Amino acid sequence: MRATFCLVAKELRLLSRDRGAVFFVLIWPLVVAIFFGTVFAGRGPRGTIPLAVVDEDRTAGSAEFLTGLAKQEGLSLAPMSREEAASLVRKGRKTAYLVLLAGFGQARERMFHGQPARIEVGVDPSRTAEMAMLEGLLKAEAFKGVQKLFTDRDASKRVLSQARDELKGAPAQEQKTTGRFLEELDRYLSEAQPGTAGSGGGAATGWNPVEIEMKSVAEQRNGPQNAFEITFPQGILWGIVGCAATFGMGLVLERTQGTLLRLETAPISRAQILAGRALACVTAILVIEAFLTVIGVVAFQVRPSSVAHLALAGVSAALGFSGLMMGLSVIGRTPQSVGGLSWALLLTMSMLGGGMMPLFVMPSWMVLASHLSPVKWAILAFEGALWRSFSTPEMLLPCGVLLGVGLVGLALGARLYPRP
Amino acid sequence: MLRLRNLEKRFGDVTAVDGLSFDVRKGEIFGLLGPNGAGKTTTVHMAMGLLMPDRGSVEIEGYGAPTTAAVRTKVGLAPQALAVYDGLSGEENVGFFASLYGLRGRHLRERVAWALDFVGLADRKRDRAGAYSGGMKRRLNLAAALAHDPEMILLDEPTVGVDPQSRNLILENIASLRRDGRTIVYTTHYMEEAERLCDRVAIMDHGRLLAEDTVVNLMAAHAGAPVLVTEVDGREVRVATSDPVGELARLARQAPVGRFYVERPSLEQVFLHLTGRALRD
Repeated sequence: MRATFCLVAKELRLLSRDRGAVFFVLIWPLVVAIFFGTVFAGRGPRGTIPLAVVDEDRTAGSAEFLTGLAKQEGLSLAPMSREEAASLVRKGRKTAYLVLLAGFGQARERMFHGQPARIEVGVDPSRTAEMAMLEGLLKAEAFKGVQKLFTDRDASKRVLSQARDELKGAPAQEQKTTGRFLEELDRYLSEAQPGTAGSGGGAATGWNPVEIEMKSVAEQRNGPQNAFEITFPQGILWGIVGCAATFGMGLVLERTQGTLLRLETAPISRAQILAGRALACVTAILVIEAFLTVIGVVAFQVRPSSVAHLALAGVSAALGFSGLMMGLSVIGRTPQSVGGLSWALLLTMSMLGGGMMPLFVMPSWMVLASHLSPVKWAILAFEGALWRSFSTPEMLLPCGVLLGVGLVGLALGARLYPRP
Repeated sequence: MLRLRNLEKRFGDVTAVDGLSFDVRKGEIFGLLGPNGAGKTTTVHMAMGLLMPDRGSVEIEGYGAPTTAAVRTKVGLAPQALAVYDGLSGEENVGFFASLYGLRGRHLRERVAWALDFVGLADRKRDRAGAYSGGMKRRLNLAAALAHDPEMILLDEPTVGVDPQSRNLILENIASLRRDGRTIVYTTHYMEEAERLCDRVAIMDHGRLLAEDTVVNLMAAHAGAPVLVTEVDGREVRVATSDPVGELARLARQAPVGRFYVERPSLEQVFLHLTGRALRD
């Protein structure tokens, strides 16, 4: 047993003196977790769509629309001429331009007949993904006008009166059908009492299409409290993957540089040599997990829902990936081939398992394929302990899969590990 | 001390060692010579218990086969490769390997200090091995084989790629170990080293033992007579003779003799005589 501890101490000492390895197993995962956590949490500058706006209508209605649009989160407006706007979009300095065409304000005041308010949008073809968001924001702002008309009885009656006047020039059939509707609507607005069901409060009366009640859910643990609770498990996995690859390569290096020969001539068994390396890998992974978790808890409001489950997840991941490391160490004969193949396999596992991007943004076939990746199960175990609030039986599946992977890898590595 | 009997080892179709038998006596330096691919390293590995022979037996006198932990503590190996960790200091390297042999505490520290001092690395013991020169790494490789105080030491090409100063120190170290009563098995390509150090030598090729005896006896049996080289009437005359002095006197009676010298037979001649001059890959 003492010899095994000597082997573990030697491995950890060697790892601690390899600056490149320390960076990739400790610092890089932390950078990944903090960077992506910050981006997803919106602590950095939020992404906005830069828009050039051209007001060719120049009415109170168009000005009101632009003022409302400027208040929309996610948009950054810059008024300018049509030529300048088109030029900036073409050069890629603006995502799109909006032109509120002449008659925009008047059309906004019109209901149930005539041409709608028209906006011309010029789009950078390379930014089409943002156009759906822009279209949604424009429609949302346009419907605010409609909502205002329906919730303000005076405004509604004014628009209604205007609509009835303009209807006089319309064809007879339209005058008959639309006129009957407007007449009924006018009667409703005259008879309706403030405060009827569905009406807004205060000065604005009439029907409101939706009432949204905002409630704080900060104390409920039905999801991550912040983005760091998603990115820290991913960061931990990067550290684990780096550790497994480093130790896997180290095992081959031991063989090629002759130190394994020396170990094999010592009065220790082969099992002790392999156990020493596996135990060193487990220890290093546990240190990485503890380091990242402490930083997450202390500095980034990562709050485990169960410390015991977090410990279970950490130990399972450490054992699973240490076994995997033993399996990876026998896939090639040289450090280069083992290093290349290990990283290729581990990166693929990370990609499939949600180590690079969360599983919920992946297409369904990738989510299905992710079941094959131990990274997915490790992340699930960590998330289960952090914010998914897994029960102990629910923790058993991901942890069991990790332990199974570890056992298979360990058996494979021990069986196929060549003699010096 | 070490007894090898009818050893045979095959790797696929290649017979690396073929019916090899020899004894290494306690307290001697036994040289194992042979061209590349002769089977020396395979023999050393079987002697260490790293490889199991397909046939035959290896026994360390008084202890048994070198496959058990108890027997392995009696043996030290300095492999041909520089089997040390670049990331550890000289002291940490030797300490780590010695600790695997059960040394600990004060005894461990004393043995590590002795081994490093023995190979002349005491003043660089805290430097990382990665910063050592090739010669220093060779010496560290030797120190790591000695720290646990083995009775028998197997040195596989211990002077490959080192400068003359380091080589000289290593050879003096090995001679010193013999004086302390250690048994040494020494494989090398350098015939002058074997001549200088070895009490007895075995020459092997194609996995077989070709000759085994003292250096003097091998030279007498296989190297031919010494060669007298003289200058007679301005011409160089070379005469192989077992009596160079008598032959010189005979030549001097016939004609005036200029400068002269005697070429002694060497172990290299024995080696080439036994293994041939064909190049080996």
